[in-house]
Amino acid sequence: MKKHRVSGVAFEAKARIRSEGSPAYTLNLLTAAGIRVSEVKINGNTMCFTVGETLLPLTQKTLSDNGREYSVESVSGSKIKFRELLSRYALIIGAVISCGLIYVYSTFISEVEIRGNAEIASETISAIVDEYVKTPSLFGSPDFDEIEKAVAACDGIAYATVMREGKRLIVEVVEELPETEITDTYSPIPVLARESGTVTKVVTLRGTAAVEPGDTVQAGQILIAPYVSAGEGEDIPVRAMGIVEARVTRTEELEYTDEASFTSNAAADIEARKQAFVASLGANELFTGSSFTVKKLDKSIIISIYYEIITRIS
Amino acid sequence: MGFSVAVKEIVLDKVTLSAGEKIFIEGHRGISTYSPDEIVVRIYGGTLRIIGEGLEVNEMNGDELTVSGKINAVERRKKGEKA
Repeated sequence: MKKHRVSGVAFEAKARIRSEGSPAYTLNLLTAAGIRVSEVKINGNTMCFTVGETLLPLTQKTLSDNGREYSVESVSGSKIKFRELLSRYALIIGAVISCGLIYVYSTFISEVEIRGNAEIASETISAIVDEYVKTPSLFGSPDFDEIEKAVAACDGIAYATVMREGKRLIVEVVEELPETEITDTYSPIPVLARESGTVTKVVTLRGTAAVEPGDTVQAGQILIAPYVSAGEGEDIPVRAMGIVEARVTRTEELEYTDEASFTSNAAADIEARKQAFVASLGANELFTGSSFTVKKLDKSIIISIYYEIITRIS
Repeated sequence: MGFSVAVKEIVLDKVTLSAGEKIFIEGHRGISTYSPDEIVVRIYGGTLRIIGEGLEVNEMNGDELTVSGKINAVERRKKGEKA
């Protein structure tokens, strides 16, 4: 059978024939002659059928030789074939457009997943990432390097990596470690007194107490010795640690250059100074009392105020 | 010692009916009767009578025949058997 090929698409040309006479007899004639008949329609003794274009001469000869009346109604033209061809191209074009749309859709990022954060809120990181992905670019992808830099610049984040799984953007972060205080617990360092005073309380956390409540100590004196006893006179060196509180005396002086000023202002000044001193004390410092002395010099009068407090001296 | 094999052509018909709407006959020997209500096909050793409505021959060549339409019944008769 004749086949035409246009732009790689093959099709068969067909001829439509109308014949008169017994349809069964006509069909038997044609098929016996090796003709393939299709799309048979009958109306009484009139029959329409289709044969391949190349079989048309043989069909006509067979019908003529056997005295059958017939007419060729149509031979399928190039317009029909071209339409078929177009329909196939339309299918291909449709498929290509569909693939394109799927690809474009797949370039959009619908979800941002944050991993590895514990201290920093996911919303904070997402807000940074969203600036880069909220405006998707056609046939493009967000700049992962830029996102990594932007996320890593966030306070508390040491490192960030960005990857993509389908329509999901995954941001993995490594947070900065909190600063830790390294304490040397092995060097044998004693606890020394920062101020002179009378010890009121000793709490030894590590080491051996060298003073006890009631002892008078001087600034720089060892309060807790840097060792612990292992028995039988053997000592193990440690870094001493503990809390030692003591009653200490702090002094302040007021100077008056004339008698009149001293007489009129001294009492108020002493009380004001005392109030100011108490207000300046820390939370762990306890004010226990005050006293003062007056010393007259040649050109001035000096008042010494003594404040007594209990404070930590270790 | 050898032996010989005699090969004889065996022609068998094959009839396939699909959902009462299409019938495919392989190995037919022509059509006896053709109308929208009845198609009688000659087959090996008899005939095949297709009874229905709007029957049409979709495709036919020397060996194969496809009939479509509303197929109500298919009767197979041996040669010489009367209805």
